Order: sequence, then C-alpha cells, then structure tokens
Amino acid sequence: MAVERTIVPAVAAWDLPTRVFHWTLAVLVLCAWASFEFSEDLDDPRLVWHRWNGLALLTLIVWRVLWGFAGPGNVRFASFVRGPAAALRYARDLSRGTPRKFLGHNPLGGWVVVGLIALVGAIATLGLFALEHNDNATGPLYKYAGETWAKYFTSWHRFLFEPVLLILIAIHITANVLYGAVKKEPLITAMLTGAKPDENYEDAVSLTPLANPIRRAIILLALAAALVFGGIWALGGKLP
Amino acid sequence: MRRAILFVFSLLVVPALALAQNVDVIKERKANFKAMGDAVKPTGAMLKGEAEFDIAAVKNAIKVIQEKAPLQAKLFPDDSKEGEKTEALPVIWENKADFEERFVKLAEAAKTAEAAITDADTFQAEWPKVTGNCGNCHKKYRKPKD
Repeated sequence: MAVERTIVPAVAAWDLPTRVFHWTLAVLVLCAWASFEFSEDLDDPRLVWHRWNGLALLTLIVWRVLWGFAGPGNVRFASFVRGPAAALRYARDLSRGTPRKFLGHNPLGGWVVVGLIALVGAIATLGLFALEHNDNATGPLYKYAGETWAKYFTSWHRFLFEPVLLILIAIHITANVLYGAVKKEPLITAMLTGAKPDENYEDAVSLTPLANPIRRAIILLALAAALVFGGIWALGGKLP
Repeated sequence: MRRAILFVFSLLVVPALALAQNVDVIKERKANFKAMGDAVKPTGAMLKGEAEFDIAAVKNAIKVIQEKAPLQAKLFPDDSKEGEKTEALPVIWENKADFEERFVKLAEAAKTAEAAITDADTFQAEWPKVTGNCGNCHKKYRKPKD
C-alpha cells in the first residue's frame, strides 16, 4: 500500500550563513550568561571565558551588520527594515488575523531582529569598558572609561541583558512559536532547514541569491574579526 | 500600681527586644569588610594595570585579610538580618555552612598567596585566586550594587 502524502513545494528563505549565524548567536548568548553566572564553578575569577565569549559575540554582530548590506536579498536591512507605519499596519492586520505573508522578516518582526542585533552589540560593546566589581577583570578598553564611568557602563551592561534583552528574547521566541502553532507558518523550521513552503509571499521578488554565499560569508567574517581585534589592538587594548 | 506599670512595660519591651536586630554585630562586620576592602583596593589597581606592582601593598592586604576574615563568620547571627543598611542577603542564613566556609577559604587563599607572590608576574597569576573569593561570595550573598 503506497503511503499517500502531500508534497509541499519549498522555497529558499534563509541562506546557510544566516542560519549558522542565528544558532551560533543563540548559543553564545547563553554561554555569555553562563560564563558569568558560573564563573566560580569554572574557577575563573578573571572571567576569561566570559571576555572571550563577548569578543566572539561582538565579531558575530559586526558580521551580521556587514551581512545586512552584502548578504542575499532578504537578510539585507534595506529589504526588511520598514517604517513604523508599515509595522503598525502589519500589527493591525495581524490582530485581525489577515496579515500578508513574508518570506523574510515581516515589518514588525524586522524591528525585533534589529532590536536583538543592536542590543547584543550594545551589551558586547559596553563589556569592552566594563569592570568586575572586585577589580578581578576589566574589558580590553577599560582604561578609556576609567573607574567611575566603567561602573556605569558595567551596570548598563548588566541592565541591557537582564531584563531588556531577556524580555526581547522572550518576545522573539513566543512570536515564533505562536506563528508555528496558531498560524501554521513554520518559522522555526525555516531557520533550521532554510526553506519555507512555496506560497504567495509579499517580498519574494526581493530575494536575490548570491553566487557563492558561503565564500562571501567567510570573507566577511574575517573582516569582522579584523575590525574587532584590530580595533582593540590599535587602541592598545589587552585581550583576555 | 507600680507592679502593674512594670507588668505593662515588660509586655511592651520584651517583644521589642526579641524583634530588635543586633546592630552592633552588623556594624562590626561592616567595619571588618571595609578594612579588607580598603586594604585590597590598591592591589585592584595593580591587577588592572593602573598602578605599579608593590609588594608592600600585597603583604598588607594579606595581613588584613588573615586578621579580619576569620572574625566574620561569627558576625552573622540570626538576629542580624536587617538594619544599618546591611547589604547581606537573606540567602546567607539559608546556606550558613557554605557562607561560613567561604571565610575559611579566603583566609587560606591569602596564606597560600603570601608564599606564592614574589613579583608582578606571580601577583597577576596568584592574586585573583584570593580576590576571586570576594567576588564569588558577593555575587551570591550580597545585594547587587547598581
């Protein structure tokens, strides 16, 4: 007896580098928290793990910003960052249950993505100037801040993570789970496999695939690392 | 009449005394922490590369830690949870054994460092093993500073 199944034709939504970026970011954010929270268990009073983790995150965020200009169509900021009017219109349609479908980020989700990228970038940047409260560790550019400012930067470093980033992550995860469960749009699967069901997407025309996305992504990653580590080196900062 | 007054007075005073927090002990432990903090402060500047290595400052910090740390464990009785702007978190009294053990570890770490630190390099490598105890304990048992 033949198994009958419906084959849903799929369409490419997310390129491999973007997917690798996404899940690496998720893991590194988790590790950033753990490497601070459990520094005692790691026997790491100087927060060496936490500081390397922060530099890796900063590199990753710089890469995503570069990718937002030089990546394939739907990960470019120009393609998914829309004005507040468009975001509100989408929110209104969503509340009525009649939103248009987007292959990339929708006009509301796009702002969450920008917020997440900006927040992680800001937290990592503040960490460059931060000071552990018992003088056991400093960010590589601490000397430019000095103790008084470093203490402010450190409390912002903390505040932007808990609660601000945690709230935005909660919104991000909840929204993606709900799209899958309620609206039957498999967004989480799409971030794993890269594919979405072939439907009528508002923004599908803007997706222009790159000839060799992986090579380009690796070159940009090298550039991002050069910017972060070269910048710290140029400013005379000390690595962990 | 006098007996009645005494009776009423004692009714008021006895519970007040029972509820009263042991302020002296809080003052005492705060003074000890401050002495340790003040002694460690110059070594923090050295650790951050803001000051030159100075063995005298390290030796002084070790002396003060060895003197004050062993006193601290006994200065957190059950009636000293509040008052005097204490930054002690209630979780101290839920993990009393772990909390008290930390002062023993701190004093021991200071003793080890005394022998191990001879120059700037050994200082950078060994000193965080002492001050790491401060940070670890503060993270768990002290109100966060914002």
